[in-house]
Amino acid sequence: MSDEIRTLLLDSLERLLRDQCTPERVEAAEQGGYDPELWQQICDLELHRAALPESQGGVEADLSLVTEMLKLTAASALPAPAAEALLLAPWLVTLAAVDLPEGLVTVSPAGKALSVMGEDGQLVISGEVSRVPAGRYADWLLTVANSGDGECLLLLRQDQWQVTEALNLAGEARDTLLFNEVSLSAEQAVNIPGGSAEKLWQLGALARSAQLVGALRRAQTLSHTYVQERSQFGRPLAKFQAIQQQLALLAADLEAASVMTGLAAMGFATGDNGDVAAAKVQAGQAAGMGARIAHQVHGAMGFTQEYPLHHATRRLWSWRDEYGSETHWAHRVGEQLVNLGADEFWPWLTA
Amino acid sequence: MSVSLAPAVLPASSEVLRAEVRQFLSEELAAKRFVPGCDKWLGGFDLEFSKRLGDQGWLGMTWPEAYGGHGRSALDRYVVTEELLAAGAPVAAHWVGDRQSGPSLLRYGTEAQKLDYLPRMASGDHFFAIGMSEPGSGSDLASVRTRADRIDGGWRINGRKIWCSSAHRVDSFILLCRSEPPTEDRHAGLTQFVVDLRAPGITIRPIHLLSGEHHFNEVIMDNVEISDDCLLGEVGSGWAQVTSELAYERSGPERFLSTFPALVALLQRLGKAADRGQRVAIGRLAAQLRALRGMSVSVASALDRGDAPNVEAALVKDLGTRFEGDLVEQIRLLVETEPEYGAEDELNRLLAESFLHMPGFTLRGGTNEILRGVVARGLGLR
Repeated sequence: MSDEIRTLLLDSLERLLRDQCTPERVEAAEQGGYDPELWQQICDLELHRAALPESQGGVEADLSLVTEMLKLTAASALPAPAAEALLLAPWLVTLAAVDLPEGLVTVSPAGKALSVMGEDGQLVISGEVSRVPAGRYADWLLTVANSGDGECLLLLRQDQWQVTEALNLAGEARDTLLFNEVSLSAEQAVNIPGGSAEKLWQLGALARSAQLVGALRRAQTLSHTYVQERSQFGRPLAKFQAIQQQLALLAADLEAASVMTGLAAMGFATGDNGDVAAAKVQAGQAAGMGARIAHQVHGAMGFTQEYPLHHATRRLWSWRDEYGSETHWAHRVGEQLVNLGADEFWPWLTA
Repeated sequence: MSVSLAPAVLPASSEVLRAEVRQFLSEELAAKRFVPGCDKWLGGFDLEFSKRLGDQGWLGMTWPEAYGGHGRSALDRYVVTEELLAAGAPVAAHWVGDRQSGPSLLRYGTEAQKLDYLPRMASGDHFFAIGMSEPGSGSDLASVRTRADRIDGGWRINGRKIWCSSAHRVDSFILLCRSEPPTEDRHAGLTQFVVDLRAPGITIRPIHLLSGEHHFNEVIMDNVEISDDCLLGEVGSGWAQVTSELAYERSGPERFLSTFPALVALLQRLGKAADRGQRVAIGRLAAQLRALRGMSVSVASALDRGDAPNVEAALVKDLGTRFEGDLVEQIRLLVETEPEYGAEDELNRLLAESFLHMPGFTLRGGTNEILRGVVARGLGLR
């Protein structure tokens, strides 16, 4: 795709978020984290189709671009399931060569918890899928389940589940959807290549890493502004070395997470080389550290709902645990390295 | 705010070179020509090893062929450097010359200086030390007091330099002197010279590391007379010349790989018996290492494009050098071990080398606190 389209997409998204996704609007969407009008404006720009192939009305936006978009939506705390709708759903329907359903589409990596019974074209599913982003608002849930003949993409409709509501620390809906012996039509279950569930898990981790970077960028910007405006002992906070040193630490962790996420996006197509794991570890780590520093330099002001810092930091505290914490991904890397052996450690690092 | 680092990877063409370096290193190890160690770019002085690298064409790699170099890219040099460091190879003899004295000579030296020094440095026959810091000037480099006074046809030098790596074994150093009395502009009036360490009037006194190794020196100059040919660059431009080297010095793989051999030795010791906690810890360190290397390569690529990512380089050094220490701190909590200097057990030995060198990681090349000040300025906070 051309640089021109890339710039166009990012600029139009950035403008929309700046003009419309105000802290007041984000605040108003607390307790669920979804603003349907704002999301409609995103869809009016066709941004939710950007990652689709041209045959489906997309521009085949690559992962580097879509993760940049996710950094922007995260920085603005967009009240919508951005990663699911902008990246994961388009990726799944492209994989399965089906059309993107109309309406709000969410995605869960937990479809393996469903039991899928029956023969081709006559499937019945039961069970529950928990922690579904925007579950209560979604028209469709896409997830990967195991059927008798391997992995399949399920395209499930709102009238097929019951919702039990739950929230993450940022007030975003993370609902449990219950399926009670639901019969699916033939087009609701599509066979996809084995390993797709794993690939979805990795892509979700990459998406969350990008969102963490975006939210941390926002916490950083707010911190820089605050320490330059706020004076204590007769000078701006920014002039205190103790403050400068803290913000330099934040910058270091943020840039490491940003570069690693960028590398993981660039290399995703070429297979599992550890970049996604490294990105999620680094981003999760930066999130905890960065949120702590951002709050510390804001003093008590940032610790209230009156000041928008919490829109960024509560997302940091939520997203770092979604799609696997630092421990989850570190364990995977550790497993891989122990199996490869000491002599292959350095080649792994430089591959 | 001007901090941003575009993610970059090394070009595929460098990978051919990487295979050559690995082949060379495995032959060196098979012939027991070196023992892998931690922080060997500081402490691993081996003239013959450096000479063999020169024979391979891996010294002065980026310098023009006219000066004995090999005209290769900075990213090719990056590959060679990281392979040598990861293997714990003894690269200290040529390290300073290859990383900064050579490039300084190339940039600021006269034609005669370039032709005189660079070919011998690239072949592994002439080595350099640094002559910047002084007993009275640690982080505040502009406060140097070593004096260069004009004499007929040259300069007379008086003063003391400290932390001069391997000055007792190498041939020359680049000396930062005050050539005019200090004024309000503290960065004015500084001048660099290329000086023969065996010149009359020079006394070299050892400063031993915590491990007992003799690596650092104090170099005392008592009425050392040098000719005008020794002047490097412009009189009075010493500060600009010194600071231009810093991005190269701060973001290279030596800023996160100094203790890497200990991590490999840990994996060796644990093998498949590693429990879950150990696997998580190893994986976490490996993930951090991957991110650090990604950052460092991205800075190297920016440098290669002609950018000046000084702030980003400072970030790499701050993160990377803290990581070097964290790595061994974590390892000691993962295994039963009592580090012993020179121990037969590889992991114990490597940990001992690391701990006794560790305080230096976050000091050398600009303390991390100074670097965070550089970062804060880059972020627009000062």
